[in-house]
Amino acid sequence: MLTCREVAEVIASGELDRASWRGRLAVRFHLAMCVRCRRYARQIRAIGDGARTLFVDVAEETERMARLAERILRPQQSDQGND
Amino acid sequence: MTRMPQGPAEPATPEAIRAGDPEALKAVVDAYLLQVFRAARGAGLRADLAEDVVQETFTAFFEAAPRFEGRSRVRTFLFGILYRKISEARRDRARERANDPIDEVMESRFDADGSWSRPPLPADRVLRRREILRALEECLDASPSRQRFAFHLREVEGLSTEEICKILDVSVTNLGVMLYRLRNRTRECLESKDVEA
Repeated sequence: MLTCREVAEVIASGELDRASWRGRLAVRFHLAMCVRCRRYARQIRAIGDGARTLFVDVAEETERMARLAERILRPQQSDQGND
Repeated sequence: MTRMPQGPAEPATPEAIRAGDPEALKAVVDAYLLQVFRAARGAGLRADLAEDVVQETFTAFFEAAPRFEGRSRVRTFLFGILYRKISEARRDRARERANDPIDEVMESRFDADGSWSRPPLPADRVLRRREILRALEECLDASPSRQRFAFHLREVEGLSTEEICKILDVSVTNLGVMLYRLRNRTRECLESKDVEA
């Protein structure tokens, strides 16, 4: 039987993503019985979901990206011209 | 033919990149500019500093292009350069100590049997989504940029553990420790604000 501490470790470190089916099953079994770890797991997952949502806004900065692309490629093109 | 890990198709062939073909280099910029910028922001850089670091990253990529062998994906290579540029920009690797205070916080949450002695609290505050996200942003800011970068590559860009380890040049265990610390520090911070993300 896994302890709460162990469950928290495999969830937050991402070890769970790489665990064997047996390892996953042990975590699932613990979560089924432990409301505290369920809450913990949900909160950890929500942090990832929230981070993805935060970066949706950044993805919409098309103007900034166009400007930046030009900044990056301009010296590159003038180098070519100097050859 | 070397086996490529699964993922999006490469924007240009290693040969064209090595030759410095302007079309190939432009294709690399078009394919990855947004991702690289987003990752710089994800590591905690402000937008203007992120722009500078991203420009430096691509400039370094162009300089290294003649030696690009195509053994790793262009993306892996770019993120590796970005990671070094971020470290230079922030010079905060020293701030990431071997003894991260979050480890003690986590220790205090469990009893000798490994059960919660201070279980996670449910949030009572009813907040709008925007406010929750603002709190999350503040809480993410409390972590060193290296941990934030690793977390961003994992959660936002969805990169595999193997690719992230290659980019950061760390072991799988090391990466696990970084993610563990960032996620717990962030969760503790949100809990102290009585917020659930």
